[in-house]
Amino acid sequence: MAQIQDINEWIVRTGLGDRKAFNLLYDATSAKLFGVCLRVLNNRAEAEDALQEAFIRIWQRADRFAANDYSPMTWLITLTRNLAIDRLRARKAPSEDISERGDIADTGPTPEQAALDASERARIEQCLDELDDPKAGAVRGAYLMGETYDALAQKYGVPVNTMRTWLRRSLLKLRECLIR
Amino acid sequence: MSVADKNDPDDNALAAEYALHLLSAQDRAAFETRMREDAGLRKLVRDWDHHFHPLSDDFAPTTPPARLKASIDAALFAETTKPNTFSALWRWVLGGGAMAAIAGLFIVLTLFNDPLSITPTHSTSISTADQSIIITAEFSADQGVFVVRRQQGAPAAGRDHEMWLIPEGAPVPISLGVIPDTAEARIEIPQDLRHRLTAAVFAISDEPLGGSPTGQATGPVLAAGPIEML
Repeated sequence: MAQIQDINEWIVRTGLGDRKAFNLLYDATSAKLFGVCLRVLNNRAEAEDALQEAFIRIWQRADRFAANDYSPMTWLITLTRNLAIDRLRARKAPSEDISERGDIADTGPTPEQAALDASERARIEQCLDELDDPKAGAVRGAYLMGETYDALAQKYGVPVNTMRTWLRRSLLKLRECLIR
Repeated sequence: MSVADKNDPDDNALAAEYALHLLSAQDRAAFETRMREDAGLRKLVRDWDHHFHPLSDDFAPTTPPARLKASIDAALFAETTKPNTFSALWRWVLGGGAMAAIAGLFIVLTLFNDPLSITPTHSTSISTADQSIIITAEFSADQGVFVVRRQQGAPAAGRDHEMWLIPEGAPVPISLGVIPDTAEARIEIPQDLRHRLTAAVFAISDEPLGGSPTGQATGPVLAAGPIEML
């Protein structure tokens, strides 16, 4: 199983135009990144397009990875998630493809699961728990599904401006807790 | 020097909103412009990306279809890739095979009487020289789907027939997946291929169950022929 150091090295080598490293990187991370696209877009065809775009971007931007101080899985997931949400925002009509959600996941460990420090996860959970309930849910909804302020406001039955004020305040509280 | 102070709550909240992708397109673009000039802002965003990262545990890993990697490679390395399959396919297409396939087209077109509901813009029919395998397909560039029909023949036991598209000028065949185990099936055409059907070649190869493990054809090309615009 690939380790974080391997993934780090493959991204760096990809940045130097090493296609073998790019293939190894794809094999090790495409399932996780496809999971990101599927969760955000909830549509298989669009998720495939987004994943393709993500790997093209990874190839093109890998040369800048070493300089920007990201841990490798955070870099890959952030890049992929942003592209998937760009697509979500550009979508004209909402698409519902429920069959793709939740029931098609592979099991088995993946690099970042192994490497993701359980205490880090516990920590953000704990800090989210310190927020009032709907606000923690809103942070999760925004992160995992790319929900907009409009969608969140509707979900929690408050005006958009209120939602934004709430969430911004909550995010600052969250950060205080995380760096404490 | 950085203008963004870590203690500036407004920039900090903005950075968090940026990381979550909550800003409007306009605000997002404006923030990116500032980020380019400001290492402090970039650091705020980077910190947020790392803060949120543990939540990514909830993205369930799902293996993408094998053809996707081939399509990524085709998009990135179109000028440089020259796998053997390509030349094998082209030798086949330029040789007698294509003529047989085109001859087959006229025979099989008359058999079309069971449309799944698409409005085709393109079609093809390919067959082996001895007609033991005949595959037809109708494509709709507009709907982004195609319907494949197995008119004759089946893969050997424990094998699959994998479909390939070779758009005009493409250096490598791009997998369209294996032919499902049904007489006919409706399949999505990847977005980037939808407008590359005209003058493309459609082919099938003999592959292990589930399709080629490499993203390129590993078994013999059984049949290939041109896709016709309707």
